[in-house]
Amino acid sequence: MRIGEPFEFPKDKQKLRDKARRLAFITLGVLGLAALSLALTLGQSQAMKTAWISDLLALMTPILMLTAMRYEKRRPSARFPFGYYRALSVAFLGTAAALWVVGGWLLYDSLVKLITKHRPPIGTFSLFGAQFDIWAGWAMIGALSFSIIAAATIGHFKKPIAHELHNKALLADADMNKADYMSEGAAVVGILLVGFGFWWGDAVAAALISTTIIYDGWHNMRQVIGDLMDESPTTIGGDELEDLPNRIKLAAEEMEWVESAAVRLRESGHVLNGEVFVVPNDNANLVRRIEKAADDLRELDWRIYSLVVVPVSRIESESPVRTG
Amino acid sequence: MWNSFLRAPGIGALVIAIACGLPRDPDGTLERVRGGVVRVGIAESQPWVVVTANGAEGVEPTLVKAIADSLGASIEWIRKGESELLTDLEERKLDLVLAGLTDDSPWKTKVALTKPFYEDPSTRKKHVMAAPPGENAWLVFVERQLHHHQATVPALVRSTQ
Repeated sequence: MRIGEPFEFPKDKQKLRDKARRLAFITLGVLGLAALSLALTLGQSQAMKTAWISDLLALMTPILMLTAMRYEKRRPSARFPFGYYRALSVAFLGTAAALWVVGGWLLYDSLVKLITKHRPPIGTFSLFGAQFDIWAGWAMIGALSFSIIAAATIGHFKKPIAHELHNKALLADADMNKADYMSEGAAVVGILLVGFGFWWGDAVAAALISTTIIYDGWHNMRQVIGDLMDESPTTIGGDELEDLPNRIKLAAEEMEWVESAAVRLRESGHVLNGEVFVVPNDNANLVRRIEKAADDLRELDWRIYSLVVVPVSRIESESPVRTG
Repeated sequence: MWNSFLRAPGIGALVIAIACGLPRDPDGTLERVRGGVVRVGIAESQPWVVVTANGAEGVEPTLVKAIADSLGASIEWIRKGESELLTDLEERKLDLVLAGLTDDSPWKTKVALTKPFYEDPSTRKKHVMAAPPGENAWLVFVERQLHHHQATVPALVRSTQ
């Protein structure tokens, strides 16, 4: 039995993981550029400000993910004997909190502007002190379009990798990119409304964008809560319970020395841990059989990190498992 | 070839801008002022605004007279204290306020400050005028005009000193 080993990805998954990591770096670069272009055209539009901050927040996820990726494969230590694979959940917690605070503040800000009938002044465009005679709204729409294309492209590439790696952080990141470009679309509409003389368009678009930021926060928080509550493994994207615990139970019961078995699994970050309780009908070679059972059962899914097989005299009650 | 390639979207945007006539004013200030009366609030601030018996002189009034001329509009000068003027402007009872304002004015969240038309070489203060909030067609028009007349401002400043 080896306890101090870090989680190892299978070779094909390792390749995908490297790809996910490259994508995170590309996200940082491209979204950083988009955020810069929004910052340069910002002006006095509330919708632009909200879209810009939402862009900056979208930078947080890849940063936290890259940091978590550095930690999660660390060897268990004296202080953290179970390993570091929950680093990703910590990253989620940070993002969720930031999204809620900032989203809430932006929503408040735009509602105040709506109620006090604040009319956004959008005049001519200037860049680094040079003044141009075009309406600044056009420059804003240009910057937003760039940001929309960037976020949509990146999100599109992330999704399939997230599914294959069963990486919910990456999927949440891709979802955030989607929410991002949709809210930037709302900002474009808001600025056009202002252009047509409907001053409320700006604040309404901003309120809409802040709502999606808050929703993003909920999305992230949902992951952390599931993790903290030791939720059974769920399908990626669908949030359905997987039937893996039941498959492990059936596989254990198929072993000729096992009378009956009960299984508990929990999802921590992207690895699965849990216990298999077995009632042996034959105590010969029990220690070796149990060790072999643990190795064999672990083969059922590549995400299983630590699976403890415990012999018991009888199972009086067990947590229900999803059959399917 | 690259030049025309780069210029195409710009021209396209300009065509759309002119076609749609964006931005428009929620209250139609530019349309009302054209051939009509511009209500200009003035507060003494030498050499930018010098209040006289029947109007105003100084750098800012000179610029505004040129803007009004280009619209075929006459000017109604309204004399009050600076904060009174800016409150009226916020409520859209005025079309412009001239008071030697700079771009760091605390009023910038309540009214629309124009792009600077002059930067003081010694104090680095950027001088602006104030327009009603959200009247964006009017704001764009004033800013374009100020930009157009920008080159004449240093000479104007010298002549008033």
